[in-house]
Amino acid sequence: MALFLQRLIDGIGNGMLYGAVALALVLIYRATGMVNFAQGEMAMFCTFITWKLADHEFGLGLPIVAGIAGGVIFGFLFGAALERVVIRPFESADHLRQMIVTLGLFLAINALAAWIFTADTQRLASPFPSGALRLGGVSVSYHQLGVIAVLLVMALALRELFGRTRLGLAIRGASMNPESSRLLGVDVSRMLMIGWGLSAAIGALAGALVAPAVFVSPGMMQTLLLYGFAAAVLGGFDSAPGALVGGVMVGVVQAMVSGYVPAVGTQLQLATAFALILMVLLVRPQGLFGRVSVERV
Amino acid sequence: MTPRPKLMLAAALGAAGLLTTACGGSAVSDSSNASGQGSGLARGCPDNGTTGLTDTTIKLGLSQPLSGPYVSVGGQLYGMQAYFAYVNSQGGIQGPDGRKRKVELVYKDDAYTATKAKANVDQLVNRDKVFALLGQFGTAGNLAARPIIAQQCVPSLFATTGAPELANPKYPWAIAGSISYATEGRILGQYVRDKHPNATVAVLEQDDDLGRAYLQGFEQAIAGSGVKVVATQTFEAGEPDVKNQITTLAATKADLYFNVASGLTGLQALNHVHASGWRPEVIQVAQLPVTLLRRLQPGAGDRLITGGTGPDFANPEVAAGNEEFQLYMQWFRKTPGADKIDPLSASQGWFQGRLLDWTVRHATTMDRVGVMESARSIDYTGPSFTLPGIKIHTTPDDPHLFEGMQLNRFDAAKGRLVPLGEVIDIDGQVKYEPVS
Amino acid sequence: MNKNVTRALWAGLLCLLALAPFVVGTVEISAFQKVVYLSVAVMSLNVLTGFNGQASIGHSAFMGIAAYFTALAVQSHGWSYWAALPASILVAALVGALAGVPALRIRGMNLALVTLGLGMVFPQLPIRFTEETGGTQGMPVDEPLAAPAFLNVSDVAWRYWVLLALAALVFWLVRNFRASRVGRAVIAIRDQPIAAHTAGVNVAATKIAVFAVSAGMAGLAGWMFTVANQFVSPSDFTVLVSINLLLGMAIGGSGTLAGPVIGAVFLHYIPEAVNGTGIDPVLTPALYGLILILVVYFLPGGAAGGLAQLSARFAASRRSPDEPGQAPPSTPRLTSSTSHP
Repeated sequence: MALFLQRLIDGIGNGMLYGAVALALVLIYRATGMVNFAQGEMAMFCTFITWKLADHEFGLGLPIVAGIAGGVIFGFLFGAALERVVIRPFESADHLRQMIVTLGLFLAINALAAWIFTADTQRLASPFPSGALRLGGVSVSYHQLGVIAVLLVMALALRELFGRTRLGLAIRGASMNPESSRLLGVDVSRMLMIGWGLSAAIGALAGALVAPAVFVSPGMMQTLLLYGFAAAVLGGFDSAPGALVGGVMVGVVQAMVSGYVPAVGTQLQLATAFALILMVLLVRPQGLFGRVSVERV
Repeated sequence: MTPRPKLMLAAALGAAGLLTTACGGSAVSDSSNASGQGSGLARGCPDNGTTGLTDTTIKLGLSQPLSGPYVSVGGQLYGMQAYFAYVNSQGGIQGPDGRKRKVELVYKDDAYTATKAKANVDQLVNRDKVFALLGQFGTAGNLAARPIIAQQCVPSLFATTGAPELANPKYPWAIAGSISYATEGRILGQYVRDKHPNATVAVLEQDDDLGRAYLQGFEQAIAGSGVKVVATQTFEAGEPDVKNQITTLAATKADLYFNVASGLTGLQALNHVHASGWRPEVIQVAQLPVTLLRRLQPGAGDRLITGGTGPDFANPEVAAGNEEFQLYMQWFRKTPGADKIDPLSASQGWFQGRLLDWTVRHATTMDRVGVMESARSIDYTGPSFTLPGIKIHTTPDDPHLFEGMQLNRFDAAKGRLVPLGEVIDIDGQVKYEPVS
Repeated sequence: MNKNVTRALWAGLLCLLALAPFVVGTVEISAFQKVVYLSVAVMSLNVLTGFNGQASIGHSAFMGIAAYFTALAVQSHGWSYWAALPASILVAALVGALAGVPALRIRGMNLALVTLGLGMVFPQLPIRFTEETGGTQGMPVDEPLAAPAFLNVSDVAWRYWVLLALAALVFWLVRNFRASRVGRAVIAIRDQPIAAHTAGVNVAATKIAVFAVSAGMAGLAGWMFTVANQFVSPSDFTVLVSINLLLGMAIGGSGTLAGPVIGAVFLHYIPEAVNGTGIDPVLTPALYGLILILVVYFLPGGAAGGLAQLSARFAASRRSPDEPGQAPPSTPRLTSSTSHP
């Protein structure tokens, strides 16, 4: 029983990491209608900024919370600048071209990070106390608990932002129906820029939260990205809480399969995530929490 | 077709006909398959034994990652450049013919892609005409390029890989520069068998040829003893996390934990073991250098044993007390681009240069056969980064350069390795066997 | 451009390439081999994306499947390369057809996600079956595709000719296909899916078929890969390879015949050129990314599209020197930025 609970907790913990990546993907999708393949690399770059601010050996040695704040602020500016300089010229281009551009960003940011910072593996401290809460035979680290709390707050805040606030509605409108938004006096380009900034800022936070587990390196987000996509697809690409639930589901399925289905075991976990994406898209393309979008011709 | 293409075709054919008669050495009449005369190593070799040599220079080549996700492991190049800058400042490497030759190093980026490495070696050997390869990087790249090396009889010296396959006697022109993974596994197993004769062991294994080689050596050493492997979990290289595997292993409460995981995954696994509350003695493969071990979470590095062939240069006192290391650092700092490179990982390149110097100096003849024979009968005792007691020794039948290790305890508080017992050296006992 | 001139150029290029082994050495011919199989790989993506409007970041997987199939068949099961040729293409096409089924319901970005998954998962498969494939250390194929003895030419040259002939055949087929009824239907699906449906095109069947054909072509490129390198390893079929193929397509020009050739030349020779400039090689991918974005911005039709426009403008200006040159209406950018003097 204790082992089962431990696996469940492992699954939730890992799933939250996937959910964190998914959150950033969902945000940019809602804000701009784009799927950004460079999302993970942008988060990685911001995490390096956090590391540079906080590390005692190679950086400034600021408190980790200050480092994360710096990374998040940098993330917002970085995302907004990328939108303004790189993405805006392709605002009205088709999906294919937009996809190629974000793939170009993916290559460029990854190589630049290795060149500017380092290609080595670095450690980032957790903003939460070390150690673990032990109940019976089960342990949950304080870091895991902290990550869950932060992400829950963030998902709810995002839902509020897009559901209730004027800014959120303007951003959504700008991405879903730019023509009408313009007529209503919304500065569409500016909204897209804010959307990119926000999602990069969330990516920076997600990076800082996953880094104590996966360490900081130019490749840190690359395998997480597919799990993040799986979580986002499962949650329905346009729901922030859905992204977290999706992430947790991916994590728990993985933990249970690897523990109790010896034939699959721990091998081909990536394939499990892939199969999940495929299944959801075939059976329920809008995901568990997404709304069906009606396409007009 | 209109008349025009026909005209062009005729013209092109005519021009090509002229060229064919004018040029030799074209790909169509590639003569590299032709066998030369000779015995032993030289059997079947083309007549090119002194390619890459002049009276004053020797040209060496190398393909390794300089871009892409594995760029961080490519530091050796800078160590090598440091050594050659040093030796060139002294006039060069002295050959058996009494001449001193300055080293020219040609290096190419393969981004750790095997077929790119093969294409690079093809260029190095057939276009740049290097005399030998030094520190050729990565298992897959070495295996992919092996036919070219074998066919052209080019020495591939001290390749940077520990794959047991490099000792395959069918391919005598390549020799590995790192300790074989299987040998290391065997030494670790020997330690476990002697110190904990009735221990239970839980294993985390990278699911590929590297993990298998380690485990094969380990299992050979514990065979017949009371040591028992009670659980094995595998992971695919590049997976983001191994928490699930560790939970399963921790449930066994085994006495020992054998961590056959390198780099980042190795660190994660150790952190998870600690967080789970399981407190086994950890046997760690050397793929996780001390600079990385220092990045473990507090407590996760306690009770950790790992092997190495050299002293712990990450400890400033040890580094300061070692003359060779000081000389290395002095030249390393002057190497362009070295400021971004970890000097510890780059030091391997310096030693590869040092060993090449010795090998050329002790060759019987100044040609490829002479140098390769010399590399297969090394008995090196000069300055090195290797601990005394570990022989640097090869024979024509035993190409394993190192077969010894010092086991260390990791002192997590100070971030240092503390030697544990004597050096274990099994020189001469390791035979080539394919990993299964 | 004049049709006959285009034809003559292609024929001339083919002749020059076919005669290359008489002139240059083995190192260059090996590089040409790589350019040839990369051209076929980029062309396979071009058929899917450029003609049919479906995107894929998983073509490295189709290449890898066929390359590994060939390597295993030849090395472990004693097949000849020639027997493995149709079989490996078929296997890749079959997997492609399966991947194409979800493509019916999954469009645009979602399809890209699915293919991204395929591309990311594939390299793990040979590692999972290390006993058969050698795992991360890769798998050499000892047997070369040897030249027939009576020809008295080297194996390298023979392999190159085989690859070149197959590639020429593929390009010729694609050219004819594009002009055919089915080909026009495929392009109609890209431009006007609903109109195509109304006009009686079976959109679903056509899409699956295109996916299968494209995967089969990538499979041919995979077979060529094994023939040329006699080695396969997981590192040769990572998702980065797929991204590079997209890069090649975008740079060469999607939807054209010359594009894939230009793209393949770029993919092979640019890294070499970068190495020569003294730029830190770590930055090579960054340079790729930058070029990719700039090309998509300035040359939406790729290099081939740009060339076509230039020659059209040239032809137009020769016809009537007093009037402004007319560029094709699909690409207004060049006309506006470089107006006629």
